[in-house]
Formats: sequence, C-alpha cells, structure tokens
Amino acid sequence: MGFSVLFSNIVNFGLYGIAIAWLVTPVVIIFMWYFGTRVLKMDNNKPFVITIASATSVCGTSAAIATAAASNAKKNDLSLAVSISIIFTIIMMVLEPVIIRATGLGELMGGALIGGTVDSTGAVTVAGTALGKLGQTTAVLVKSIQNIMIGFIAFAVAVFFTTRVENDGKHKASASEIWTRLPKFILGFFAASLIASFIVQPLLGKSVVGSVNKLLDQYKNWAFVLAFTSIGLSTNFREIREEISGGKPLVLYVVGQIFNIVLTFAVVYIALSGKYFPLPAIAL
Amino acid sequence: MNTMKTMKKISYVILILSFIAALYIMMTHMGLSKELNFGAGAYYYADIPEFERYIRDDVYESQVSIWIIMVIFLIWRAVMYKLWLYIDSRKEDKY
Repeated sequence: MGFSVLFSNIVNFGLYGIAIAWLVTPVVIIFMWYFGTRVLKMDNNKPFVITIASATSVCGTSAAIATAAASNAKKNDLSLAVSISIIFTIIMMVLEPVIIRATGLGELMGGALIGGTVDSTGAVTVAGTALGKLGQTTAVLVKSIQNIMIGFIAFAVAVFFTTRVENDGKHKASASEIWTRLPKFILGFFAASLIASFIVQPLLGKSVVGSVNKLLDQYKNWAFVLAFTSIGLSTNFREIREEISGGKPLVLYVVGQIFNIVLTFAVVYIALSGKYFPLPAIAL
Repeated sequence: MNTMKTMKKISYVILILSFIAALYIMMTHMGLSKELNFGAGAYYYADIPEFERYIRDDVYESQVSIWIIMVIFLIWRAVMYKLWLYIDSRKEDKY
C-alpha cells in the first residue's frame, strides 16, 4: 500500500492542499480524542477512540486498520470502527454532492470539501465525479495528499500509546522499548512510499510506478480480502453489542464527523472562495 | 446528562435514517456513476482500474518547493503532537 501512497503527491495542490488536507486532520483527531475520553468517558478503551478518530479524519478503513494495529486495539473494536465508517461513507458519498449542488458551493470548493471529509478514496472519486471534472480532480488531489498521513499518524499513535497509554507512568519509556512495541509495518509503509516517490518515480517515470502498482494491486487486494476475512472471523458480536451499548461509539463518530465537516468547510472557504487568497489555476 | 441522552437519540436517528437512505440509494442506483461503475468492488479504490490516472500531478503547478512543504508539514505534525500530549496531561490533572 505504501508504494501507491506517493509522498511526492504532497506538491500536487501546493499550499492549498496542505491547508485543506493537513490543517484539519490532526485537529479533528485531537478533538475526537478529547471528546471520546473526556466527554464520553471512553477511557477504558482508548485504542477504540483513536481508531474511530483516525477512520473519521483520514481515510476510513485503511487508517482504521493501521491505527488499530499501532494502538493494539481489539479486533472487535476495529470491526465496529470499520462498519460505522463504511455506513456513513456511503451516505456521505451520495448526499454530499447533492447538498453541494443545492447550495451552489461550486466544483472547486465542493470537490475540496469532499476530498477532505469523505472517508474512503474510492468514495471520494465517485462523489467528486458527481460534481464534474473539476470537482473530481480537486477531490482526488486533496484526498491523495491526506492519504500520505496514514503512516505518520500510525507512527504518532504507536509512540503515544507506548510512552503514555501503556506506560505505567513510573518510568520513561526507553528508545528500545518504543522500538520493541512499535508495529514494524509502519516502517515498511514509509520505506515503500519514499522509495516509490523519490527513487523509482524520478528515475523510471510515473508509468513504471503505475505498472508496479497495477501488479502489486492484485496482491494488495488479496491481502485486504484476507485481512477483512480474518477480522470477520475474530469478531464477536456479543462483545460488540456490549461495546456499542449506550451508543457512545456512534455519538463519537457523528460528533467527530460533524466537527470535521464544519472545520473543513471553514478552511476550504478561506482557501478557495477567492475572497482571501487567489484562486488556484487548475488546468483540466 | 440530558445533553448526552439527546446526543444519543440524535445519533440513533441519524443511523436509522442512514440505513433507510442506503437502501433507497441502492434501490434507485443513485450511487452509481456510469464511468465509475466497476461493480461491488468500486467502493475501495484499489479496485478502481488504473486508479493512478485519477491522481493528476499535471493540473496544478505549485510555486512552493516540495522541501518547504515538507518542513511545514513536519512542524505542524510536531506542534499537533505536543498539543495532543498537553491535552491528555491536562485531562489527567483534572482527575
């Protein structure tokens, strides 16, 4: 997956992309962490809180899987987070373009809003296409920049949980301890992304990276099928029912997503309305 | 406590409406965009044939160097991580 999440995409939308994709995401994660642990008092299951938070703010399923592994979340929690994310992604994928059209937000701002708020990259592509060519391009640009954060967030979560959540507080976690507990797949993700972005693409061209990804996609799809099957096999619905009782995970997702939409809209409006900054020249 | 109950009710209403909307969307094929109809697997981007072509790096020319953007990115990451630590420690202090 790291090979297809190109770090070099970072420049594809300049500072506009940075502002929309990156300014909001960590703020939403921190807000949801605070809301989940403090307001909803889900302190007894912090990995679940961070898994839902990253699924909401980054890219749904992929981010949930990476963060769940980084925080040592239970399989049931991952199943629940993925389920909630998928249900709402489908709804947002269809309704967001309808609302954007009805409000006359326009393809540029609408596409950026979709790219920043709809969870899955596939759903972003579909929703952006419903707006038009410019909407599709802007939505995918923003999402591809946001996707770069999966590895960084998983790494930060792994360090945070190792040094704070799983630490008894009596001693400072040493570098070797962090290394032992750190899920090593994150390093592989980074390595693949950096190699594809800064070695393979500059030397051999974008088409070669595309060909390699086409080949890797077959393995990746099988790996995802196996991962989802494994998650399903290890899911205990009785435990999930207990987990969801009280509706806290649902409240966390809904409140977090509303916060995400409002904040993303504010940043999109400031960056792309043309009132505060010059409009980006996107050549289609 | 009342706020919490209201929030739960709102969330459940949204969930139920979402299920109804999902069924309606599937029944009326609203979610299908003709050129992006790759079957049931269309949800996940890895299933979209040649997904790379949707990521266009030739439509916008950034005036800012990639290294400046990366530095901004790393600084922002560090600031946000510190904020996360601060908020988490503030929470512990209050308990």
